[in-house]
Amino acid sequence: MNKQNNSAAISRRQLLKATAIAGTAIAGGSALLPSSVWAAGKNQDAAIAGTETWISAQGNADTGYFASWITDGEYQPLVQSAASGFRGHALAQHSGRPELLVMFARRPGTHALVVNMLTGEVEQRIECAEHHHMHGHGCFDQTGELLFTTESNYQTGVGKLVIRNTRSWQVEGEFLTHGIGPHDVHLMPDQKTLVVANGGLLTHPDSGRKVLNLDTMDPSLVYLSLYNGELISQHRLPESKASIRHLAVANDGTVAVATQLQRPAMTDNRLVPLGAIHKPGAEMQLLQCPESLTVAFNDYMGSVAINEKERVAGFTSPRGDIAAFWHMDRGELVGYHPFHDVCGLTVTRDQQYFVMSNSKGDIRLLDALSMKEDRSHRLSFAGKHWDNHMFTITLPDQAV
Amino acid sequence: MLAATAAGLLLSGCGGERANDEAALSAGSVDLALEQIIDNTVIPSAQAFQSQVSAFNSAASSFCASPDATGLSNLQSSWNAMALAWYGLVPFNFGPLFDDTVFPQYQYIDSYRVRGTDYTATVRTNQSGLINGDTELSSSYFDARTFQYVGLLALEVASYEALADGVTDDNRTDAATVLAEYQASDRRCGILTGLAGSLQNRADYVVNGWTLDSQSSGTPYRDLFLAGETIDGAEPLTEMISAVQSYLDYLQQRNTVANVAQIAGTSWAQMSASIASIEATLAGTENSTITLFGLMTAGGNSADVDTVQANIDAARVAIASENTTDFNSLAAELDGNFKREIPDGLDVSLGINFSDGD
Repeated sequence: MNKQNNSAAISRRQLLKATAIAGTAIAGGSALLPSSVWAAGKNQDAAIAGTETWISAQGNADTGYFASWITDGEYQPLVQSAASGFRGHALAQHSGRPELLVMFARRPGTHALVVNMLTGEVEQRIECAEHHHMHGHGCFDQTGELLFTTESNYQTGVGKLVIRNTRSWQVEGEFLTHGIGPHDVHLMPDQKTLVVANGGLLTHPDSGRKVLNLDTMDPSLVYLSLYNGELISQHRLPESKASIRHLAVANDGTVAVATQLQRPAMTDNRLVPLGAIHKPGAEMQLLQCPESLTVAFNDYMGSVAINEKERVAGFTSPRGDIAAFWHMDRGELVGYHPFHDVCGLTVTRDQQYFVMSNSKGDIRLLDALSMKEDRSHRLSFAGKHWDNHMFTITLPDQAV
Repeated sequence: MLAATAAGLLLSGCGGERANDEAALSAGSVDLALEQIIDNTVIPSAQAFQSQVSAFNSAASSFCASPDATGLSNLQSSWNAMALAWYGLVPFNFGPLFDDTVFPQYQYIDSYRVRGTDYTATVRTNQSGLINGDTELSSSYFDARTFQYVGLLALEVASYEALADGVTDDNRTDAATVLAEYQASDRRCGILTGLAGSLQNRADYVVNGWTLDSQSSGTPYRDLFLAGETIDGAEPLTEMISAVQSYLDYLQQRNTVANVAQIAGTSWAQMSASIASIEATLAGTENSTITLFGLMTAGGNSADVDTVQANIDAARVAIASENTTDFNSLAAELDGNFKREIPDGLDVSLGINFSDGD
């Protein structure tokens, strides 16, 4: 622990120096609670080289926008940040160079940022092609040679996966997603299939985030060949006004699906289940729960994460101040936790806890088996505003 | 813009802790105002509701001991007073009223508040079935019922309506017909007192939670709330402002005044009770030494105070004239005031990042 902390202290100085050269702001943060939380992630998986790190888009209009990551400090967890100049949404870790993270602009942004977390430098700024905007998500192929981002041509409304090589970050090609408004994308465990959430929502930068096709929206979950973009299968939910937005993929290929209901487009006042599970070769299974919990979600799921060990999928709703959890195989509700403005959701590296973050800078850990919060692991980072998604990554040891 | 926390407020001189000080907008003064809102408005509203539920239980017991027209009239008057007290409390739908997401206390009191669904027909069918069935009408039976079948609406039906086969809309609320049913069947009283006792348990839970023990913590929610230990981690001021704002949104989105208490015909009086509670939250009571309006004014935001007060006054006019369109419009205006003018006037941010979603 001490060795790592000493290393961290040196790295931090290096990081500040490197950042100054790169002209990137770094803001260190300090936790209000001791770093005992880190025992949750480290002690039980010492065989994994590298440091468990939680990373998220962070900030607001007043503080500015960043990619920020929480890692172990000498005395307490530290937050370090790279200024982005735009509001980020999701991030993806390079498969071959784990020190590289890409943060994608929130819809309808047109940028992405490649950060080297060893140096703190912004290695690359990625711009969309003309008449294109991003949807906030992307993923790498198994080797890390290719980056896939969900984008739309806002002149035609066509949804795409744009493919860039990671040597020059130049566009190599594009796949159709067979739907409008592709949002989340993941590489499946077979390493040769991509799964895409077609949100079904048509927007245009001239009208901001206004949805232009509420009457005709057609969300879908699609599987595409990594090699040629061929459509392998396409799946729809019973409710066409439930925009399929966020995905989490288990090692066995089970996909957890989080939706956002476009209530103004509904012709009745029905409650609609917002979460679903899709298993290879099956139809999507809606996740049921008591009516009052569906009400609490307020037609909105913001993020989803899977705990492999307990086979539990978690979903958050900042509009409902709630996180809820379902068993992926039994389809039954196993727990819920009220948390103000919660959206970020990930899992500790040892799979013991779900990690939840909110816009107030708070972090809470929920035991993935008992579904009870471990209050001794609460963290609060004053002045930080965790945004939509949080991810658990392992950084090489020489990183902070 | 600062976080909606006393700790996050700019300190601007005097904290206003002494009663005769001119209040300044500061961390300490907002804390004190919040404390007074809880002590002078929120908890008394919960206690008033508890008291009226007790009075209703007494009226039900008296009526059922010897059902007669006077007893029925008293029962109905007690329901009116109980519903009025509830509408003074329901704008503060946080803390013990909402300390469990799936099984919140409020839904067992006010089924319409959940999402604006009118369960009147469901309640009628259910109570008719109970009258004609042989289900044991024990307290545990009513405590275990799902929210659609219990609470104020169920007691409104029980107090005001005849439920026998053949009853039509023309004679459903005829007092003589209702009385005759009570005189003919003990099970009607079993339902009435069972529902009333169950509601008493809910009202007691809420008051105990605020004043004695929140969720078996051994600490009143009042103390937890004022210490910043809210159930979902929201800042206390955010929690209170968001609750009132959500209620105002509900009033207009669900056209509440045209849908609740339609049998008793008391919905306008209930809206008036809500507006009075909301005004007390902002302008204080006779026991207040510091108020949110006062702090907004001290912060140089008297125009915001004037805007909000004008909407409150106009809502009262709409209530007096029973103008549903105007009232809903003003509820929407006040909803906006709680999102913008009031947080801005207090120089706080509600700390919400995701209002536009993604």
